[in-house]
Amino acid sequence: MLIDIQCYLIVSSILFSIGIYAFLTKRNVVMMLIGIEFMINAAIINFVAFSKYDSNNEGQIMAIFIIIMAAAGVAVALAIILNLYKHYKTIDPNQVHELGEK
Amino acid sequence: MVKSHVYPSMTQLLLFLFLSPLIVFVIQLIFGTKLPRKGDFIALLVAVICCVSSSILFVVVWNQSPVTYQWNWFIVGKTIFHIRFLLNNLSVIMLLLVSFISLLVHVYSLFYMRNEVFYHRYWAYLGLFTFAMIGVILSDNLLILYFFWELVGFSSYLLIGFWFKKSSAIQANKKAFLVNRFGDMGFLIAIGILYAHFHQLTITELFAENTLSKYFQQDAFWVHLVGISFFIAAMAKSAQFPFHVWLLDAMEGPTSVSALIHAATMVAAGVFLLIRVNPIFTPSVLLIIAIVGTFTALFAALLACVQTDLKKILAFSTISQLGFMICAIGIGSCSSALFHLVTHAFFKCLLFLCAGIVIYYYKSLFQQQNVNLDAQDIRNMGNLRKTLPLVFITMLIASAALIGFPFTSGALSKENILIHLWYWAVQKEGWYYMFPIILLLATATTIIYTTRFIYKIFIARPTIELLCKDKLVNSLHPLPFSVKIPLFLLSLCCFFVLFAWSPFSLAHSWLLNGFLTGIVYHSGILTTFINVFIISILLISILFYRFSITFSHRFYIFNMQVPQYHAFLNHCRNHITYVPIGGFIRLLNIHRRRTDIVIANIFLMISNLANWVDRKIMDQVAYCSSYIALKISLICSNFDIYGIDGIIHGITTGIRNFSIVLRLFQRGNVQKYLSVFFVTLLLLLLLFYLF
Repeated sequence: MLIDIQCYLIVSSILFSIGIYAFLTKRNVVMMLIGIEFMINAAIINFVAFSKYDSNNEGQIMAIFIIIMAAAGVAVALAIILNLYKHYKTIDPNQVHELGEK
Repeated sequence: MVKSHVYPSMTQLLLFLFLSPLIVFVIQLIFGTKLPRKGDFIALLVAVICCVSSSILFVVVWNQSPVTYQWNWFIVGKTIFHIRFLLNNLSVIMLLLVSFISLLVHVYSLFYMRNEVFYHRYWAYLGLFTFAMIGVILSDNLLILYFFWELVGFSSYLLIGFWFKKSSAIQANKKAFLVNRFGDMGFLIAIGILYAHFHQLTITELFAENTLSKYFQQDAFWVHLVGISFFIAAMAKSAQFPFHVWLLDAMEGPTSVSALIHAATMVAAGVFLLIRVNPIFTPSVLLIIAIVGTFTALFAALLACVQTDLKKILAFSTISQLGFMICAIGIGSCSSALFHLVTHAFFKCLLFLCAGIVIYYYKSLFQQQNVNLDAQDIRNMGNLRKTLPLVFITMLIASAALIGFPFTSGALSKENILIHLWYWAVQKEGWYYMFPIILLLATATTIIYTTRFIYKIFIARPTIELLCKDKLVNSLHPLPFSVKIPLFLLSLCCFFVLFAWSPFSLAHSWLLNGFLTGIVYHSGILTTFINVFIISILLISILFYRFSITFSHRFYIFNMQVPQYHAFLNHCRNHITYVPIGGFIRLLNIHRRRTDIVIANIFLMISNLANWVDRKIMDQVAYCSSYIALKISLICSNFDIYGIDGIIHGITTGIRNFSIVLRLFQRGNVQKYLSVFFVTLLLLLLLFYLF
């Protein structure tokens, strides 16, 4: 039984859209981070899906690599969020805007 | 180019003479308060040096060939501008006059200004003025002449506003400056036109015989325009009819300043300019000049008759006498204009210095008595001849010169103008006879107002009881030397001997002989006839004396307040022999009271009419023109605000609004960044997909 490639792509694009939606609308940095993770995972699904057509599984290796990188990124991002909270006493991204006018 | 090889040291002398007043100005401004006596000795020393060195220059240059000095200034294209000084008869006589009178005023100011807070500044301003005036006299380049012309106006501005805490003085100096600026505009226009047509501004080369006459035939319009522009400049500086308003207000300055600047030297600069650029004037422009001069002479003399402020009477008198000079230029007799300029400078300076002492006396007296009266109002004065005998005598001499009394310098110069005018009218015939008649009337009016103020100040009984007692002001008893010396020297200059050996024949006047140009009326066959004519003029003026002294005696009664009128009339009836000035008048003074009063009334009416015209119509004209100017400037400013500024504001507002749009993406909001990023990405993808 062979699942069509479109199915993977549809799932990943849904996942990606959810990620964008979460990133653009959530009023919480942690939720935005989760949105980013969604988008990364959508990309990983694409990698894995397309690796079906290549011979030496480079796509799957890249997927594992991205998972590691994403984990590292989440660690850094959580540290930044922690510091953000310490500094501003909030993790609402709309209230953290020292560049623009109030 | 004539260069002086004969007297190599003269260049240094000239430069020294030229620059030393400027050095005084700088020193006084910087170190004035720190020097002992606030540095007045430096100014005095420099004034003495200036006077001596200009006498030397005068002796060397007078009646010799003109000497020029020139230095390169700057180069525009192929034209080289020179700083060029010219020493000829005209400039050395003016130089001597200015430096001599400046010296005397310096000496006088030692006493007169000694209690001023800003004493040092006064000397600085005087230095600046002397520098500017010498510059005007010496320059042979119109552009440089223009610079100094403006500088003269500016230093006059400073000196009028010397008492800068008085708001009237500030208003007055502003007015004087603005009127002078208007005249400067005429000067600038003339310079522009001359440069456009001749590509040079050196006066001697510009008015060399070939250039101008050749051009004159080609294009008459521009020559007329240049002449009128120069005349406007001279009118503003010499306070001729429409521009005479500033000189009255200029009397707000210290009296010593009025003597130096607004009587003797600066106002003469206009006449000097007209003499200097004389060849440019076409016959029609000359006629305009003559008309303005004649009219001003009579008009100002009439106005002087109804003034009550002593300094304003003298100011109107100055305007009137300047009218005589301008008229003389208008009939093409520059020599007689210059002659009158020189004699007028001496006697008018003397009159002002005397008036200064009188005003000083009354100011101190009123302060002692603790009354609040105007020290310059002649109605408050009287019977000063016993208190200040020296001032009385010198002022009498000066007034005699002013009215052209025989044996004075004024008689020579004024008759000279009248004779030239008469012959000019004879040549032209027709309505041109109006000119000598009007000028004779002006001469008669001069006698009337002069007698009026002399009589009121020195002879008449004071109208205020307080002043009947002979109160002495300590500082004027005895008169200090620094006052006596100028008064004495200037009175000497009021006599005929200084200018001609004979009191009646102008043929012997060295000053006139130094300017023999054009038609000369006092030589050859005409001489005898002219002598007869002069004598007839003398007779006429004696007749005028007889009438006008009784006139003015009557006439100032009408200027008094009503309650004092009857008392005064009684007094006059009792002391009628007491009225005249000296025995000469006493003989001629036959009292025909009724006719005198009628004539005096008519005369007073005319003078009041002239005064009314001056106050109402002239002021209305001034207001109207200022209103129009205001409206025009309003339109201009609206165009500026909504047109030009509108464009600029439009551009800036556009940029600002655009930047507000751009700033939305840069606000530090991460989610917005990303949304912009995605939208842009989508748009780009769409773009690639479509094309």
